Amino acid sequence: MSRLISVFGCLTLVLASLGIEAAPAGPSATSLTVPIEYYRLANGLRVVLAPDHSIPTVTVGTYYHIGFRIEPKNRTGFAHLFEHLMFQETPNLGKGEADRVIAGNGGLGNGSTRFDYTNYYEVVPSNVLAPALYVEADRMRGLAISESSIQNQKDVVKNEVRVNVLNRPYGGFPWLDLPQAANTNWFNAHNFYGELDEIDAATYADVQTFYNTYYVPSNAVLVVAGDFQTASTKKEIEQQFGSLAARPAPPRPDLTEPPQTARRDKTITDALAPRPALAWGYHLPERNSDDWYAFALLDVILLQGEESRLWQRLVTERGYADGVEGGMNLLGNAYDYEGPMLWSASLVHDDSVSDAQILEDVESVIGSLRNGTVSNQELATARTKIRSSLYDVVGSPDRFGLVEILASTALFDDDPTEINRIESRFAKVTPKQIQSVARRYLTPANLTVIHLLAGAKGPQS
Amino acid sequence: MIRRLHVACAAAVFELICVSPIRANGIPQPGPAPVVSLPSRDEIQLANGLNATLVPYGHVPKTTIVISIGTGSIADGARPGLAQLTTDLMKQGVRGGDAASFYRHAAKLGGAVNIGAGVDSLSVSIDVLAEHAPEAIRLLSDVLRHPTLPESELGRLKTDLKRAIAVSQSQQQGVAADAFAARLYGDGPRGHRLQESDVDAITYSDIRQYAATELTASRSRIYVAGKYDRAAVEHAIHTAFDDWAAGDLPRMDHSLPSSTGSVILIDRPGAKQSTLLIGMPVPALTSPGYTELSAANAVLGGAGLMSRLDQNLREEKGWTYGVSTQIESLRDAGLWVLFADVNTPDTAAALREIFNEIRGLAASSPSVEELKRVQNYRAGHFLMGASSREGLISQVAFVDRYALSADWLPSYIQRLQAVTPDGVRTAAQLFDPSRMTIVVAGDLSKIKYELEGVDALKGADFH
Repeated sequence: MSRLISVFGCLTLVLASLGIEAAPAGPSATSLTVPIEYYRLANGLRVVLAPDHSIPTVTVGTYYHIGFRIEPKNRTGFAHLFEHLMFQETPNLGKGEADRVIAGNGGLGNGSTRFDYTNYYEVVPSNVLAPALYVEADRMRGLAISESSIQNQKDVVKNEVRVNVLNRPYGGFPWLDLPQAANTNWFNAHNFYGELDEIDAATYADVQTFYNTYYVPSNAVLVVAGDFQTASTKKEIEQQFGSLAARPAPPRPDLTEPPQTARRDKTITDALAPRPALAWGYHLPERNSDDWYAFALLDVILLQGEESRLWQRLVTERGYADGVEGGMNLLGNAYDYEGPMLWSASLVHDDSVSDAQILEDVESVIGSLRNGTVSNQELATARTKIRSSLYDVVGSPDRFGLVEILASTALFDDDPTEINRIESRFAKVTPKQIQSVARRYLTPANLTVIHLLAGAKGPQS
Repeated sequence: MIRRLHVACAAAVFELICVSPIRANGIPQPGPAPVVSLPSRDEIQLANGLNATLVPYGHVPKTTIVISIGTGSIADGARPGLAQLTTDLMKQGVRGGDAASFYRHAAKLGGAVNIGAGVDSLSVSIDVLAEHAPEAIRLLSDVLRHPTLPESELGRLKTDLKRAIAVSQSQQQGVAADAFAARLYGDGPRGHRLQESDVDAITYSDIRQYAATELTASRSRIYVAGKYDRAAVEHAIHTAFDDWAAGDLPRMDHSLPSSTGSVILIDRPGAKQSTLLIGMPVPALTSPGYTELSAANAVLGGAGLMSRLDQNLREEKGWTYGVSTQIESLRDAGLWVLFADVNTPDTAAALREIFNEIRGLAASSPSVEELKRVQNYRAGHFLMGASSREGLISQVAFVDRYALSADWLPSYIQRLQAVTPDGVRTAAQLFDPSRMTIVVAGDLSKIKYELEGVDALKGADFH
């Protein structure tokens, strides 16, 4: 057995290898630089390598540029069902075998379906990198799913929807409800988890077509982050993925959302909920634009944490709820989506307060940002919080957050080095810009509201 | 008087022993396993009995601070909910200031203060930019020693707590968990289901009294993990806590779960799924054979999708999104628990399969390969748990809480890897269905008749 050293004693080396450099001066003591190598294989597969030897584990993520927005129109929930099927049989690995290779060697893996991608990822002890790459290449090469496995996973997925949505108070609130109410383009406005009968309707042919269309090397990115040797890993990747046939990238439907011109309201009754709830959302500026960076700071100022302005007003001052939560992209984070997105917030409140009253307070808080500028101190605190959370993204032992950003920016912008500019782009945002995005996007015409009525008949026992 | 221990951890070396992949056709073999050391830790004890554990760790400039105090709802007395409401009020400002300035202070450090009360462990924590670690220690000390406790906020916090109770009781899993705990523990702090009327009964003077008497130095332990300036952190601990009153020793909960088997059915008309909660007491962490028991638990339901219960009920039958089992630690025992939400029509069949799997493991030993996969899975989780600030603190705090030996963490993986297939089978014989508390919450009009036919439920009172 070779010994991989404990790194806990050699801080300087660790810092150098991670590339966190001391800045000469300025408000932040350090700045973040993730070493990144980015290239494409001949078949079009994008590859991002981010070595970091601080912990002897390595994280592998394969992200396909197909999320639940783009699923067949009479097959809601299909993208997610398909994600489950990627864990079933392939020509080389029987049912459950991929999981046994990963988990049975001390790793942990999973997959998830999001707005604009579906991902498969694992973190393994660094000696298990080659088997992990094998598992990912294997399911990119071909599937051999049996009819019985398709039926089995339909049943599992329907039970997932039951436990998370149908049999749970506030189950789809507001993460499933809000996009459906705020958007008009079907791709952005359907039930992403899926109607049970449409999940049931999926056929073997649907599975084949979906796989052949979207699960091609040119529509994916492979990210490897953590404790690996670059040269030998590149060789291993070429060996495992290089032989996959090149296939055309799928066409992308028009995902644009027509500008909203008037406030939208939707009322739903939740038969299981004991108290009413309220959610509100606004369409966001385009991701990665200057406005978007300003909005991300605005989100922190308005909504992230107990000192945020909405929390302060709605929770601490008014006592409407024990918290108000939300942000940019309820099914992920601000960085990991591509298409049209909402900034939203929600709370569960008592009957004694009306939705109109709460919305009046929301409007008053938002109005204060449209009509005035934030102080440099408030902006500095927001930046500090972002910096603090970015360190956690990079420093987290599973590196999933890091892989997510690298994969998203590779897939959507063809440039995973964006992570190294995040801090400086936030640093450029001015109080004036914050006011400007508040004026442009947080407008009454851009607002969608979900009113959840409590349908439960009182406490049950 | 400062006593400082430098616990040398050169021996704290873990190795993952790898399984040979199931098929050799094309699957690359894992290379030699990496070896990991636990970071060393410094211990400081103040004259008033307060202990501090410092763990230098990680490569990003962040620090996590947790202060754990040996009290909680165990000191609620005749006022259930008192510890919870006290911690809620402690978050409303420090040193006479209001909540808003307190929250802003924490945010400037790059974090937010969390407070929570368990049965006999109340904790206050924050995760901040490393440069602000000393200031964060002062802030946490203010929360514990100088909370504003504004009476004006109590009404709002009571309303919030009552709303949270109503929401929890509207969740099928919440209702099931309440009934489960009540049956296992009776009306003590672990078994009492908090009611809105309990909240109403709590007075402001109850809260002041609790905060003034329960939070004391000799009950407290500070954990600091991350990158930080050691001298500055140590100085901050002294400045913030040297003059804290020693007070009484930690309170300790010695509840034991009931080992009398019983079945509780909860009607949830129209429920799309049935919630199953099954549990029974098992030997404590330090008992001989505990590692075998924990391995048996992992084979059954504690190793994710590889576990037998998930393989059967989910991957073969499709009756559930997931079923899992775990052993919760208590001071004098463990509580083995199974959780699952299963499709309504499959409820009785799922229970039958659960008991079949339990009996099957007690009857025949798992294969060496199956056991090795599960051992690797648990070892991998353990190592990843030890690879974050929060995870390290929780592992060290666990050792402190249960007064485990110094080599408990360093030898964890060796103990785990020493478990044999026969050891697992023998341990699994402890999972005795006749001693289990079984809660089924679901649409009884659809499931009750079939449940009456499940062997393991024979003799239960269904009315």
